[in-house]
Amino acid sequence: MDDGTLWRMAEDRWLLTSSTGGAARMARHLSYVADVLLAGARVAVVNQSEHWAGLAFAGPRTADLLGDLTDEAVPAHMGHAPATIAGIAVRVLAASCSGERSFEVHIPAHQAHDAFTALVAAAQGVGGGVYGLDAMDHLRVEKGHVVIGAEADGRAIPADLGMGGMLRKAGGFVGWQALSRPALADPAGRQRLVGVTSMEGAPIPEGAMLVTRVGEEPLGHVTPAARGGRRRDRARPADRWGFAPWAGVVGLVPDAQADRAGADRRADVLRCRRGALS
Amino acid sequence: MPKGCVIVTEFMVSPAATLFALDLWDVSEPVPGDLALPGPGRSAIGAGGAVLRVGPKCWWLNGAAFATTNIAAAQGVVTAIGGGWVRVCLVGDWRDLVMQSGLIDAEDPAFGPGSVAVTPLCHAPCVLHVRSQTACEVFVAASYAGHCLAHWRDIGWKQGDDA
Repeated sequence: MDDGTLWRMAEDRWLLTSSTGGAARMARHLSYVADVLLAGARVAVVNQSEHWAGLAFAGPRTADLLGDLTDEAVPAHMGHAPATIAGIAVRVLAASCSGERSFEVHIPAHQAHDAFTALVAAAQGVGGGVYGLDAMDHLRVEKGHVVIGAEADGRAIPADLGMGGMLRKAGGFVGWQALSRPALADPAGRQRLVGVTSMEGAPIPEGAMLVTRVGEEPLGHVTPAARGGRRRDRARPADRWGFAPWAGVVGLVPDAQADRAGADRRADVLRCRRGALS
Repeated sequence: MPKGCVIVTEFMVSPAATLFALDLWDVSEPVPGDLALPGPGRSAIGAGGAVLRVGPKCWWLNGAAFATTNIAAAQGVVTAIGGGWVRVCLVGDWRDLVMQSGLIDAEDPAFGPGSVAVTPLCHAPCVLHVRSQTACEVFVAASYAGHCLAHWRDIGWKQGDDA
């Protein structure tokens, strides 16, 4: 349904987070389960999406900075603790969705300004700053960070995204039986997440269709795009990462097309002229 | 309107802040303490603030005193939600404004002081609490508040000082 994290806040109280756009859908479904499927269950589903302002505080020095700001030891990974920032009671959740050391700071929305200002000032004091969705797009391009709804679009399976090796071979997890169905198990019919780079330096817009020749049916599409990203450069194996004027587009293309280009992993790069894939 | 009278139409905006959701598992069980729970579509105002019925088993508690409301886990749960709602106090011919903003018969004589309605206004989730014939409190989901206020300004309402 969506991705998120589940936190046990008290003996009988849990906090479920979701993606920004998925909160209403998740709350609606959970309310349906509580009110209809489990009618009579002693459980309340309260959508607090607007009550809390959630700030991600990420980077190698965040634990020290957050400790200084709150005058408290930060919680261990996947732990949470109450704290005070700029005189405002907040929640600190130690979660990382990018692989980087990071925390989520939850602040009552109507009090978020002062806490946000304090966090930004702390980050700027060590050369950091505010980042937004563009940073996430670069992560998607540079390291294959997957976004639910884009790369994981409801049709992709882990193998399409280069994550098939992470699955438990013995099965037993949600969805494992479905993965044995022919349409999902046969790689010939699957798309694969690959890197795409522009040969001419021209922008490749997000959402663009990928074709081998103008006029032909699209083979795949571009998910994120970012200009000047840091990419693995196949032409320079000694220096496997390089910069390109327009690098950092990730697309889903058919498995066969990916093989022809030698793109056997999502870090590999297909070259792309304007309007055509080579 | 009596000759010479001026109808004041303005709204005051403030964070809901001290707003809590009370969910009870069984509404037939007595609630501890002196919490008076109003019936469907109604509110009850006491020393601690206002209690609004917003669902079959759900009430809103509006007032700082409710922060310490103690409900046994066997009966229900209280959750802070104030950060997610903006309180807009409409003063003047609020019934006209409400009817221009949504599909609700605000001119029904039964919809008087102490009435509560959960309904969209300007396509945004809202909770209406009628305070008097000339004042109505509207709780608007915070992320939609700017949109609602802009619409109400467009139709001639003035924004007053913070409530």
